[in-house]
Amino acid sequence: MDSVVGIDIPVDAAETMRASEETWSSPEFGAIYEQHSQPIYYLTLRMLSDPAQAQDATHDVFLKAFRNMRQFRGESSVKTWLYRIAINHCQNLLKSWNHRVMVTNVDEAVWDHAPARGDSPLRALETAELGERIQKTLARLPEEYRLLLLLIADQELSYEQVGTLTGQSADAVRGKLHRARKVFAAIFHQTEKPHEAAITKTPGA
Amino acid sequence: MKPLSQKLQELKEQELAQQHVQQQTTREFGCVEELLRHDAAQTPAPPELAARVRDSVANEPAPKTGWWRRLFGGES
Repeated sequence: MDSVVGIDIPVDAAETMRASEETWSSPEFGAIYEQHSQPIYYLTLRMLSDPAQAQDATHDVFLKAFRNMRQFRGESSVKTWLYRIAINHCQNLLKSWNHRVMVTNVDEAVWDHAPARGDSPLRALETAELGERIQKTLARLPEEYRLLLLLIADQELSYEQVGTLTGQSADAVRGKLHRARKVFAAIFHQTEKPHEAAITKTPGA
Repeated sequence: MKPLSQKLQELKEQELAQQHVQQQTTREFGCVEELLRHDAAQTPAPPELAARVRDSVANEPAPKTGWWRRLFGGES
């Protein structure tokens, strides 16, 4: 991976270099990009279910962060602030794509038919298709559950921070996560292919 | 030409080897978060994205105050 810190700038280009380029080339912004681009990209990828859209969204998130840097007061961490921008961006895109209505009914159906599998361990073949299975599963979750699971999976975020990011209390996050995990597990098991099921089946189950 | 029994033996060995590999790559995740963390670790941001963001930032007007400077204590 090319480093974004300490970018070599050609001599002829240096004459026309603008202040913002200096900023980007400075260790601070480059370090922030390097540190946070992966979690932001992952969030946008799994929220939007499309690698090209996720690239566009991640690009836009960092550009918005750059444009609005003066509004950042340091009251939250940089990561939380970037997450906030990313969540808003993804939610606006999803609204425009009209995804919301499609997933709600699926959630209820899964919940009714497979209520007990959420607490059991998830077994999966570590194949190239695992990411695809996870994506399919997340795509069938209500947007709120998807977001909560993706945020709480980031070990650097507390329940309180996830609550702040999603506009609810930490207790509400805990309650919804319990249900979200169960629905995820139920759908995830449904996405298992027969040959995988034979291999990953728990002995005696 | 190989005798039929030898071919069958080879096929059986191949199948067993394949099964062994598959068993080795079966993973158990204690919870959904653990599975997602594993997935995230396998999903890096595309390398070309850094250059794209850098180019876009380069076309932006210079910021008056860098929040990272405040953050890192280097504001003048």
